[in-house]
Amino acid sequence: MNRRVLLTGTGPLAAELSAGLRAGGHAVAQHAIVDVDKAAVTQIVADAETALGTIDTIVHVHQSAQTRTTVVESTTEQWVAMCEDSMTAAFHVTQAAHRVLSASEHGRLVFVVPTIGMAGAFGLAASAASAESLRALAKSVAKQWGKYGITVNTIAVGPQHVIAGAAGREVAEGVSLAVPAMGSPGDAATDLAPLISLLSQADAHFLTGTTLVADGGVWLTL
Amino acid sequence: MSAPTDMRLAGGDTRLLDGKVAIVTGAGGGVGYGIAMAMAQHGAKVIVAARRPDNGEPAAQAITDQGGTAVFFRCDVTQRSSIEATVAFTVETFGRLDCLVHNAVSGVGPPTEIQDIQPELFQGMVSSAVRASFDGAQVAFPHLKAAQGSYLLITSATGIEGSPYLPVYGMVKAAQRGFGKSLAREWGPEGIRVNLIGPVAMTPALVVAYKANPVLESRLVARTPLQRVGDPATDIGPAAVFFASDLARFVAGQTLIVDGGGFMGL
Repeated sequence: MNRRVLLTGTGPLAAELSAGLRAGGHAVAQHAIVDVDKAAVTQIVADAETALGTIDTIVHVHQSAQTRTTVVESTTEQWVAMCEDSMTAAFHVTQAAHRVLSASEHGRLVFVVPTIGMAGAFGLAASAASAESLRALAKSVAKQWGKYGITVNTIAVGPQHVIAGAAGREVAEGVSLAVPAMGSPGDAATDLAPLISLLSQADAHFLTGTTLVADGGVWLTL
Repeated sequence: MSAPTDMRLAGGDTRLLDGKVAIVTGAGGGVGYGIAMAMAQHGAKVIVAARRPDNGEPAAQAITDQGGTAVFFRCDVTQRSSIEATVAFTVETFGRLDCLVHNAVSGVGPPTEIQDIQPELFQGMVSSAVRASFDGAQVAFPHLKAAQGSYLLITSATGIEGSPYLPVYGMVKAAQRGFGKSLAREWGPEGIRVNLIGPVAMTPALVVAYKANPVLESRLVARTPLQRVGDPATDIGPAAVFFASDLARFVAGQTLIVDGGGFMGL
């Protein structure tokens, strides 16, 4: 079943997820969150609703740092951008999601985060903090919104999807001795977007509050 | 079943922290006070860092009355300058800093669904729990490195399993875990250990939660194998003593849930 999807986020991961969802037959509106305030995010959701008619699935892609900076060397501005703004964006998206997803017969909220929140990562503390906060947000909201028929889940992806090149591999190797069981961290459009599609189906109505670790089989701690 | 309140039951005479100096934020009451009391009973010199003198000063006095060494210093963790002043006072007063315990968090508010939570509540919790974890780390770093000490963050199982009542509390407590694990990776090579405790204890905040949610107490105790809610000093405090002591010299990036076994999700 094709769905109407709002995807909030920027960067290659968000773009590839959007492309993958479109290739899967879903109608997708992708919006960057530039102004991290409630009114701006509410407007984004309203605009997407106008464009799509109704919204069945909202996918929020975690705003992650693309380079590493240690806590001691970070400026407050860097911290705010990668941790607090990231948390605030997810908070506002979730608040705005309630109205539109309640109106859908198959309301789905999906967060996409890197596994660094679960594992911790050298030089990525701000992103790890915000990523882990999104996972907890998903669990809490899943508990609150089950009565509205809305499911809320998280997909955790390998750090290579947000940290490009050798640095991404270094981050992955820094938290686990394992190599991906599937041979790679996957392709966002063809390996990860189908999981969003899967969560959006009616048959997934009983799956909520969980984290699908989709890193090709590295972080096997759940 | 009630909690033991005699510190000897919690190994209070082992003096594991003799010669060490600790700051405990939010130590004017609840878990912070309990941790400060336990650390002082084990020999640490403790700065009771609290926003309000009306509970911070009595807390420090109570620790002193029990034979410990504790000094109150006014600290609003949402202000970096206040954290800087607290650390400077500590080093000036006691000569070093071995352990920073960041426990303070702003009021969690009543049980509320996420869509109805006001931005002010969200921002207050982010500032007190998350930003203060970052600021505390930056400010304390040179002293913790000099002492080869430790940083202890007080999180919650709510940050792991989520909460149908307090979703923002879950967010900030989870953020501290992601931060703490990362910082443990950064600071391990510097000789500083970073760990976390997730307590459940009878505190003023829990009393408020009980009032807001009448079934919470019975359900909480029912899911707890040890069949009671912890005491801040004798049940939670010893876990902080362990992490601050040399017994934990090879423990980093870990979360210890100290709740009588109620949460077993790790």
